[in-house]
Amino acid sequence: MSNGFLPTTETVHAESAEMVAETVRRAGSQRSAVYPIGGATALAFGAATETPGLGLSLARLNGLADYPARDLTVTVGAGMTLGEFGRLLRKENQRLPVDVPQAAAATIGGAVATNFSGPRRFRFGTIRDYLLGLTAVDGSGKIFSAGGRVVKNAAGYDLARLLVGSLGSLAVVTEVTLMVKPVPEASALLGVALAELRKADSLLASLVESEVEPVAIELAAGALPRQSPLRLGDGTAAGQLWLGFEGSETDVRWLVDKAAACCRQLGAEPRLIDGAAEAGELWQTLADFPAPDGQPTLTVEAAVLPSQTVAAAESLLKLDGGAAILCHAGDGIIVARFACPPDRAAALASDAREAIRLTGGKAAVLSAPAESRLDRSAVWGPATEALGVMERVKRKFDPQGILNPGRFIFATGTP
Amino acid sequence: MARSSATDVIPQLQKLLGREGVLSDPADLVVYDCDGLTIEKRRPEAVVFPTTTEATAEVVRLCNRHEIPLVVRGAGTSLAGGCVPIGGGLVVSLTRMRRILEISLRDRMAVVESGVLNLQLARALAGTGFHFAPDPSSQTACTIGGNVATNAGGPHTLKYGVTVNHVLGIEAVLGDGTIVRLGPVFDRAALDLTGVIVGSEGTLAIVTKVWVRLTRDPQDYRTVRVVFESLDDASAAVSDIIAAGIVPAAMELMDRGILAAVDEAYHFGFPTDAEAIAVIELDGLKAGLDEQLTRVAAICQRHNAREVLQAATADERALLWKCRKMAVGAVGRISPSYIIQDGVVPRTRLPEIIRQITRISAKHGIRIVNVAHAGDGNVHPILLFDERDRDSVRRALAAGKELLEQCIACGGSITAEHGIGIEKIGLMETLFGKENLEVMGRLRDALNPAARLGLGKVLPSPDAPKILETVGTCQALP
Amino acid sequence: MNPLLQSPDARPGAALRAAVRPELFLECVHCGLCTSACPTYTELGDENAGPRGRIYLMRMITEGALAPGSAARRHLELCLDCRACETACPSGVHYGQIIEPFRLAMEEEKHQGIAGWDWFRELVLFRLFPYAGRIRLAMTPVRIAQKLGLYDLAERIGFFKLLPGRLGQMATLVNPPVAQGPKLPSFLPAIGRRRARVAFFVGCVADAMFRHTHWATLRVLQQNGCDILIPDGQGCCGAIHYHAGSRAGARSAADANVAAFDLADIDAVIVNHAGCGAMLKEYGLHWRDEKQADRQRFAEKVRDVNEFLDQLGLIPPQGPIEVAATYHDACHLAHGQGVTSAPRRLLQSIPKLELRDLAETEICCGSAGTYNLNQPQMADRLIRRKLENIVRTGARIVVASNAGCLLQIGREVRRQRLPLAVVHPMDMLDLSYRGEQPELPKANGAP
Repeated sequence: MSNGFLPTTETVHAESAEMVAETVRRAGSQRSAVYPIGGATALAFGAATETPGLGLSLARLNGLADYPARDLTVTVGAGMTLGEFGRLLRKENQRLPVDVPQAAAATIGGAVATNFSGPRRFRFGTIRDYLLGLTAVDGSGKIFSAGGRVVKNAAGYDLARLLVGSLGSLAVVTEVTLMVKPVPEASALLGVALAELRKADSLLASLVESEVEPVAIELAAGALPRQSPLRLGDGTAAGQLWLGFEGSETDVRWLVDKAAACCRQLGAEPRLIDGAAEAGELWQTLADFPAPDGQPTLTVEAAVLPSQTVAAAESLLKLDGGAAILCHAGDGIIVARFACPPDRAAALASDAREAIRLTGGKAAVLSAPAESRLDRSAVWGPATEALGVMERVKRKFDPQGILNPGRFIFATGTP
Repeated sequence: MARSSATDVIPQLQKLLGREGVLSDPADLVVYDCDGLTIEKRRPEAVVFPTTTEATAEVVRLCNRHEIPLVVRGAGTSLAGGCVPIGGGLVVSLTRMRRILEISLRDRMAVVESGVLNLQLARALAGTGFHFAPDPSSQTACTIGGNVATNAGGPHTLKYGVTVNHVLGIEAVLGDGTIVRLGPVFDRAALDLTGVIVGSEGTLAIVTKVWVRLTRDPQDYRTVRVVFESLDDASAAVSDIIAAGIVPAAMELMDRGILAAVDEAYHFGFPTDAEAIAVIELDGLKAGLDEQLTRVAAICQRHNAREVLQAATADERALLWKCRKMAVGAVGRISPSYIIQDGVVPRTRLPEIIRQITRISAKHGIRIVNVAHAGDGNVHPILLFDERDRDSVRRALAAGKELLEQCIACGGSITAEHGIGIEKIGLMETLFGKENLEVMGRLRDALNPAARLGLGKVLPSPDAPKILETVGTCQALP
Repeated sequence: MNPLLQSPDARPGAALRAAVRPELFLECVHCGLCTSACPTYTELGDENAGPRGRIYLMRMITEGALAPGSAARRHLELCLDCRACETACPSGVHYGQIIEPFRLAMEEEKHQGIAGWDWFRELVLFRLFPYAGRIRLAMTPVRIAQKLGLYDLAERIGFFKLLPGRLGQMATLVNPPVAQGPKLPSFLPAIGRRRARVAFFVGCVADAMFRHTHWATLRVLQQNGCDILIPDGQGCCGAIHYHAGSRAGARSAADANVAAFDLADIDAVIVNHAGCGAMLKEYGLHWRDEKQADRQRFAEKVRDVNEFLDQLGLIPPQGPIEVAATYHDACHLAHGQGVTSAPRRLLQSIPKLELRDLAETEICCGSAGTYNLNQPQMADRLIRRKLENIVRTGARIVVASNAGCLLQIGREVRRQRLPLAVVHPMDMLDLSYRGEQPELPKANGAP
């Protein structure tokens, strides 16, 4: 199976960690690359690679190993989809409060490898904050485990955290243990249309002073799709700020009232979404913002200090007024979607990176049209001074350089 | 290994750091024999006090050229011997890097040098509406650098997480003397080295500067002390509260033995016949707290709680927390020596491990009193002995070891927040197995190639100095 | 073989090894929670300069594992004996009871023989300080210079640096002259209903330099229904001797005081300066002889004036003083006697007075008895730190309940030319009872 992104010659469907290890060892002996695949929702993420190799699907490693729900911990196979995982937790009125795009298909292993997150990041952090331990297979085909199954553990090095966001370049995750949280009683979103984007700054600054603590602070701007539930007002707004609240009924009611008063004080009439279905759809829209929509799109994710969010969003809009932008403003994360023919992607990515650099931040490409074949520097940007030590780590875990070669920040070939 | 002695490089160190930045007179080194763990001692060959990251890097490079090991030290409150130069060489004290460089509420971030005290930051933030969440019991004395090294927790871990959840970035010196700066802005094009350096006890890098996340102060608190008829009841109640989906800010347990010491120290007025007391704190918005408290109280009552008493004033709450946080030190009032253990088990296994502790205490004839961050399943049994009595030292060590082995058997770990240091290195293989330790070793090789940072700490190795196995014959230095 | 035992300046040190009861060392469990409370550790970041380290050093010396060489002595001498570590210690270590006898033994050993003769200690500390009259006489040249306006000039051009070290330090400490009031009488009656009968401890430096505060204290006590006896025959509390290593000199001062007060006739012995108060309260601890029981009975009657008035129940003063003030905890009151909230409550009873929190209020100002004379460098670092914190409060008045702190803070305020008044809590209460306002220095070229 070839998928347009990875030069895979065949795909192995692993049934066990041992089979993963065996596959990696076999590939190693043949000096062939290994491309781990979970839900195949993020194949467009990472640099284009030409090294042919094996696809290694983890989708069948989707079993539940242990769920002592009263401990609020759970151990599952890396191939379990987040959708399935969510349903499992829901039975115990628990959840993993990390928003991963296309959750129905994306897998837990993929979420670890990509470190995707969404609106709730502001209050709940990223998957790293829930990952207690894991089992994985390194580039030499050795199975190892790291961390444990307790919520607090200071023994040894936390190799699980090292694998978060490493895009499968150090090891193939086969099983993870996560800490989970109780499902909150209530959830609501409050939206405000902004005549100009700058207005968001004063609103966000006033939030710091107030006692209002949302779980998500989302700022949407630019050319949102006409039918997007994120849009507010008559369509002339420069942006819309969405504040998400979760907690007990009493808490959410108090927060919504207080936040609404805050908005009115600054001359904005807020819109409240608190019906379960409607709020659910809105959360979903926010979480799925980076997901592909069938059009040729360059999706860039920028990170700046939270106070620079609006400035960074504006600078990206200046590049292309037709971009659609969603900021997780509390964290300084900006996701920008540019309608973009494949041949323009590299130049646009580079312009976006430069714009973000000027606001003190960093940018990476989340996805680009398959045909654009962006290289490492286009996707990840120029090498930083810490790359040297990271390459040393890579060599220790994948001495032959066979895991996802060329897709992450590391050069291909045997180091 | 043909390495130099630190005494050979004193002139170079003085040139780098000034005369006042180096202690080398043997009489000046005595106090650096040990930290909060007194059972194992080793005197450094010199102590240095760099005041900048660059100077720290220079010291590391100099030591590399002369093959001299180094151990980093903050306030020296480690309970696992994390600051003891067990492999010899230099102690690098970061206590003179103690500036708070920036506080930005809008970015919810503070930038501090590693030697800044946790309390110093707390005081600087008082009144701003924000705080740095990790609050280990040694908070009044320990440094942020130390918190980062051990991935420190504290009572409020239950709701707010441990140090790594509150670190946005670090500046650090790697084993080869390279300076790296990671964060504070999220960087996708990188491995999460911050994530592994935090908690590595100074054996992957020396962290000199930290960007920490600030957390909004809760609007209000409900802090109650609940008197239980048995430790068993108390731990079952704690487990039930978690299972009910309530996330208190903290749930702490103290048993009768420790209550006596604490009350002597702070005259709180705990009932003298209470077998166990839980301190439970709920925090958040004022509006919803009483509702939550009612639910918590009901669960406690189902487990035979004798009384549920709420701290009536801010002062009373502060005193209650002081009692809890100072509890371990107060043990000095009832025993000449003690070892505080730091085991962790899945929350539901808490009653079981408590029963095991009682059994082990009887078996070894070692009195054990208990405090616990019960909500996290983190127990701190305190083993009382007399360091002048060699047999009691031996029994205390044996009891401590058995206790941690029980934690492992319950699916837990041998340290939740104190770190491995040198104290628990002998149990690393039991916990992880040789194979997994080998993988950890690779990470150390990448960041700290000759293992000179923190030599002999965290990871066992055949050529690391033999420690604690010899402790049966340990004696006061020299 | 231990090289330390063979170091050239190793001495027999038998007296040192016997100075401290070994079980006192065992109270310390080496947790380190005291370190951050220690002013010298906070400044230097060196464990040798912190309480845990010092206890360890003394223990090593006592156990014979370390020779009492010059390095260890230096570290122990740098201790302010402010006892902030005792307040911080969860284990209840009696730090004062360890370091005081140990340093005493160190001093005694040092001053054996002519080589150890110290003119400052013998002439100034022992012959001058304990006597209020002599101090007043010795201050005359400085006072004259102050009256002529020369003092300011002398201080600015650094004239006092020409005086031999500790004398120069002393001269700069002298506070500017204020109306001292007449010699204290032997009795003052209560105003209004009589609520208590007390005796007042006068002291030496306090009487020479702060007689106006004595008068304020007496008037406040009168306002609160106290008959006050001021017995003859009392003198210095003995703290100066004790801390400079003269145990015998301190004992005779103590015995004179114990003899001067008729305990049966009074409810309490009132003292208004923390350093003296801490010493008086420890009379029962320092010497073991046939008079120990008498000293202990005396000590039990001693009350700091803040503590006493707070317990008695202050009759609220009526005169408003509309000013921002901040309260500095004198070590010998806060850590030595555990009195922290009483003076604050008293001050807050003054209408309109705004009492602002002082950061690091528990950290010593560097005065510490004669510390600022013996360790001027560290004392200077600490007072600068203290002033930074004071200035940050924006207060116009600093209140402290101890002569040493008042002098030390006062000197730095003059040096930095800050518009701050430095007063005793009783000065403030007295003004309010009398419906008067404090004299606030004007900003005088201050930044």
